[in-house]
Amino acid sequence: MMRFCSVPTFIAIILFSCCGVTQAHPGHFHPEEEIDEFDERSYRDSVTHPFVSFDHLAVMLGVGALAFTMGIRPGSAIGVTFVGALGLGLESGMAISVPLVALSVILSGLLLLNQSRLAKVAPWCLVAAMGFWQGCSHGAGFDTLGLCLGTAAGLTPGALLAFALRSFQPRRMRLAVIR
Amino acid sequence: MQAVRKMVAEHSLRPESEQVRLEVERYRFLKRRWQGVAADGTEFDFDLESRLKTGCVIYQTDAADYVIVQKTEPVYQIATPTMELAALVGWKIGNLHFPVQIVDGFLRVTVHPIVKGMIEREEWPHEELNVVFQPLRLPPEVAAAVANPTPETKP
Repeated sequence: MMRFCSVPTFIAIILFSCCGVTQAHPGHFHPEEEIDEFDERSYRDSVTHPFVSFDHLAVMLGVGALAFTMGIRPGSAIGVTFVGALGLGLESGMAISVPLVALSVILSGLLLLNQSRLAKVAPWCLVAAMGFWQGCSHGAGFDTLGLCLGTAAGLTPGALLAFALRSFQPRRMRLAVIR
Repeated sequence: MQAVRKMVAEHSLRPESEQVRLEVERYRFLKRRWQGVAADGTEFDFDLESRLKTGCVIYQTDAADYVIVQKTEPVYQIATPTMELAALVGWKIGNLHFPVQIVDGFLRVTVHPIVKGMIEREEWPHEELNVVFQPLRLPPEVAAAVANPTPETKP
């Protein structure tokens, strides 16, 4: 990890991920959402959300592609890490700032590009952080199981995309990323 | 333990002496899988296909109907004598994301310090009651119409 970023940068990332949103309207309280398990629309929205939200889709495809490059066992484990962290983030009810969501999209691309140059533990930490931020960004109103299932299903297209890129691109153009 | 998949009847036709109650909190009616114990000690395992309603029969024997009943809970009942005040109260409480129940001339909302603060600040006439709270829920057909507007219903 320390090969990837210095101690101050690492601390800055941790502090940045812990900051809350600005409370511009003090007193605007939101009670805990009552999840209605009979409300199929809410569940369906949770399952389909990963495919219709650009940031979620981008991160999900990125992690799926990353999982493909890592091989079956580590790839499956990193997928589980991402989905687990996402569920944890959603359940935590923490509010995060929008730049962190944007950062998770950028990180998914950077991670794919620089995976081979990173320390072994770095992708795991970053994927967990990305999943957690993505989970936090949804707040109340989403069904955790539905969102996790949708995200887990969405990792496969990412892996397939990576497989297609590796299989069908001309050898000379082969991307360094998808080996 | 008796398994329950759906309600047997919306109401019991038997006299109250032949009804066994299973009292549960409001949130239970939002859950599909849970367990409960009736007043006579009979245990039930719920794995529901559809929503239950308070007062519905969940199980019948030769001797009794087992009826599920929602427990009462404390609410603020705000008097809304005019349509304008009702809209204003609904809007302000809705802005706090609290569910409300609309009854003739009144609006009910669950007890919470934030709501209490707003009611006192706005000086709305109100009282605190213990009632079966049934918040407003969009009927499925209305929800579907909102999700898929026809040319006539599109704004």
